[in-house]
Amino acid sequence: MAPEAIASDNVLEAHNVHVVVRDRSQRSFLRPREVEILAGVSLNLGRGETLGLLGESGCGKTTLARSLCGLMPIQSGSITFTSSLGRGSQRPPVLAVQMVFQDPFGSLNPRRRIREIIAEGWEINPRLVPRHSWEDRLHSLMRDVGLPAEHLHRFPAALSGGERQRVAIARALAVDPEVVICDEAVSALDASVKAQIIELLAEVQARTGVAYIFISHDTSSVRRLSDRVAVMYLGKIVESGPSSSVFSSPAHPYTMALLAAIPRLRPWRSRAEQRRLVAGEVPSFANPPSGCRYRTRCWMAKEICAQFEPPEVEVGDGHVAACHFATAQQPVPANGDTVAL
Amino acid sequence: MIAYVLRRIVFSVIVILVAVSTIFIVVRSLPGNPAQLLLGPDATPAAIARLARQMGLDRGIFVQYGYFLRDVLHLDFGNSSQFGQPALSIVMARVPASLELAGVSMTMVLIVAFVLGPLLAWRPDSRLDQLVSGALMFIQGLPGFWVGVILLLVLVDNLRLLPPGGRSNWESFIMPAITLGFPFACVLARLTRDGFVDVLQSGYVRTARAKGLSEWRVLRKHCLRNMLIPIVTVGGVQLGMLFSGAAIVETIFNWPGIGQSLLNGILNDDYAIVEADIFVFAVGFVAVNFIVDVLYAYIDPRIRLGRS
Amino acid sequence: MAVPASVVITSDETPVPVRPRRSRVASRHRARFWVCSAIVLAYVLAAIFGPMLTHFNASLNNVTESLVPPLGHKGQSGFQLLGTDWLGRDMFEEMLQGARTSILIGATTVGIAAVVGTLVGIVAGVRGGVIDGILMRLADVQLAFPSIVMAMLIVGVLGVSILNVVLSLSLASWVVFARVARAEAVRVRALPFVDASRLLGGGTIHIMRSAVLPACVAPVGVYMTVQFAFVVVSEAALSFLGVGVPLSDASWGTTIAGGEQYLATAWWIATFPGLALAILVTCISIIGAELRREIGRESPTQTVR
Repeated sequence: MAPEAIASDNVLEAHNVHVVVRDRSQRSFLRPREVEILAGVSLNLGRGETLGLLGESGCGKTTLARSLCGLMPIQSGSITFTSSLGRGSQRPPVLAVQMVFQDPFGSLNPRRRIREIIAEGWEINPRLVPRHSWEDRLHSLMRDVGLPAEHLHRFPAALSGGERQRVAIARALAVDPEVVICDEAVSALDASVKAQIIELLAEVQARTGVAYIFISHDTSSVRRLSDRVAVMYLGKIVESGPSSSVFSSPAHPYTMALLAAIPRLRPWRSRAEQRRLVAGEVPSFANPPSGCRYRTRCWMAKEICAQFEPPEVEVGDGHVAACHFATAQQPVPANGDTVAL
Repeated sequence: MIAYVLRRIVFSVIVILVAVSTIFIVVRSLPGNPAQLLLGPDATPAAIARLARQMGLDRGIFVQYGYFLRDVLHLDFGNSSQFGQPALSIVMARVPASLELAGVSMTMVLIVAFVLGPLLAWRPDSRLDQLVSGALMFIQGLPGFWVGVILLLVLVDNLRLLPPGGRSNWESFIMPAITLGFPFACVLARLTRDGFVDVLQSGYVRTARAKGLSEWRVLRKHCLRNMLIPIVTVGGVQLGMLFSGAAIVETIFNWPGIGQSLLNGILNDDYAIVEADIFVFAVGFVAVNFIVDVLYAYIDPRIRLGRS
Repeated sequence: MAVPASVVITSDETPVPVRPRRSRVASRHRARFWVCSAIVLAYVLAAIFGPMLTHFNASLNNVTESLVPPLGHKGQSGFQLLGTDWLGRDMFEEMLQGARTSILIGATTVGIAAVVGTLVGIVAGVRGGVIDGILMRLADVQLAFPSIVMAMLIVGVLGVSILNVVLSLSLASWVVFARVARAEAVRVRALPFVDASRLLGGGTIHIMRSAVLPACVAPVGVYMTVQFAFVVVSEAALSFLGVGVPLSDASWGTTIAGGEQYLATAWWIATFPGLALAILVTCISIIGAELRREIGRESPTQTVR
């Protein structure tokens, strides 16, 4: 986790972002249907802090990530990046937000050596780093991510998954970014390697003060790294707040279900806990449920949920949840007993 | 499915259009008066002038193209400069000979492939199988025209078994049919062998459990489809080879088909025949491809839903 | 001598692992590849240096020494390895000249077609959109018509010459490369490392150069071998029919055509060039097949560990 980072200002802000994709698999012959993936997402990322983004596969996390770094165009809303460097800095703004991808095998060009992969940012923007200092910087970056310098002349095929992710991190760090988006960066790794990479990320943040958006469907990793957390469902943020608060006192039924689904030491579950487990598949983006999107899988759903979209309710200090029934501070006991609602 | 069929029809028409337009471009790019070229060296100046007006040579190139297309639609390709008759009727008269040859060739190919294929699949990877499959691969790569020449050499000049050429009795079909179809036979034989190997290997497991007739039905339905897919794919490509091979085979064996007339037309500067021939070729080729494509789409639904 | 796939213990008790069956199959494939490559190389060398060393006289017209069978003798000139043709020209020299013509045409055509086709395919694959649609429709239409017939038409009408042969066969071949390159471009475009390049400021040109092009090299290379065989055979066929290379250039096709008339009396004239062709094509096919196996094995997502 980051040291006590005073989020004095936000390095990245998203306001009411809508993203639409064209879905060619829909039946219409001439005009492919447009499907809305992000339906008004807002979030803030403070300088040097880690924002965890939690949600199931297919809820729009990757789309949000790609929009935040500019890889995907947005239909409405705004995404603002505020650099900490003054005007007239050498680095073009696009380099300030970097990304580490989920697939360690696809994220490195198999036909280039490691040194060329890491130095690609310098190759494209030659004014950033003068040629003569490449060698030194490459070596120091390798040290920073914990890789032996011998790997520099090797090809990605010679490296393991964990090592490749380290290279991907080095590549991102090579251009001195202010934000690194980790899109399921550890999901494809073995458990022990996963822990190592997470520690590496934490250590890098402590040293450089870079901000992270840490996207995952795995709650324990998010918990480890994040200062604040946002929970996403079907293209909307349903809950967000300081991670200590959200994890200990989830206010949105989806968050509760996600957290209750973590395997515990006691394998048997109480009835209440079983009820909370998320059942069924995520409804499709093309036809989202009316009102509250989560209502089709929610055990608390009432008529009001189908009629009105839930407002953002403040349930704690900086902790909001989008639910009609969210109330302030209902701590969930660790052993999963029934909680009076 | 209907949308797919319509798309293929439109595509076929475009191909014919392009083929025909290519001749137009090529012939018009030659030096000299196109009307004279079409009528040949013996034409009278009056005839040339008349044709020139008909073709719209005094107008712009796009007008000429328009007239050209109009003539094509009316199936009017002019008169052959070699024979003085309407070109299309000359070419059409030769179509049956080419079709017969193609038919006999295809029959041979199917017999060879569907006999050899399962035979080889009976004992896959045995010495015999490896030998024969290797031989098939070698034979497949042999240049077609050379094989035809060698057949002539061995069977006609040395062994005096078969007539030297031309279309006469049933024996005269043998060498041209072989020459035309042997690459396809080799490919198809290997494909059916592979297909049967798959079927037999899974069939073995099933029959070993002795489930009964219903298993066979499922097997046949499932395996047949999967086996047909590569066959139809390759078949489509090879059928194209049949068309291009026709010119070569018909020339070697003096077969009175459309391939021979095309070549003769080209060599004798008879552009009317060339145009008519290319047109017939295009229509035939496109028709065959169309049938193959529709068959393919019927077997493999993925094709219908994807790119045309 | 069957070698069992087990461990043989020698006298000093150290187990000597015997080479397992898999690598025996692999070495058979490797042997095949190298033998065929050696043969093809021999052809290329013969094509380049052969005519220099032997001075083929195309316009020779020595009837007294014509139609000498292989291993026969020809007047003063002595021993003829492959005999002479109908004009008294040495078959061996004629074959070397033919090799030069065929291989020259093959290499030039494939070179042009590969470069043009790959460029078009990469642009279509990376840009997508309208350009992609148009280019691929064009390719479809062209593929829909037999290329040999079109080549016959072009050469026959525009005139018999090496240039026209190269032109028409290039026209027939570029489509294959465009398809392959486009498929690679589309596949690579979707890979995460391309996104990473974009984030690092990489534009379309950079991505084409650093990501797409290297990925295309392997499949395009394989198809180059396939197309080379196709072009060589097609050129021979066209020349045989009289719509290929002019008769003054001794191509294997023209030689076979000339030999067709003398089949009964001088079988060697038509046989040897065809045999040479067949061997060359077979070797190239085997090389192509082996290359395709290698490519298939070396996919970018495979790791060593």
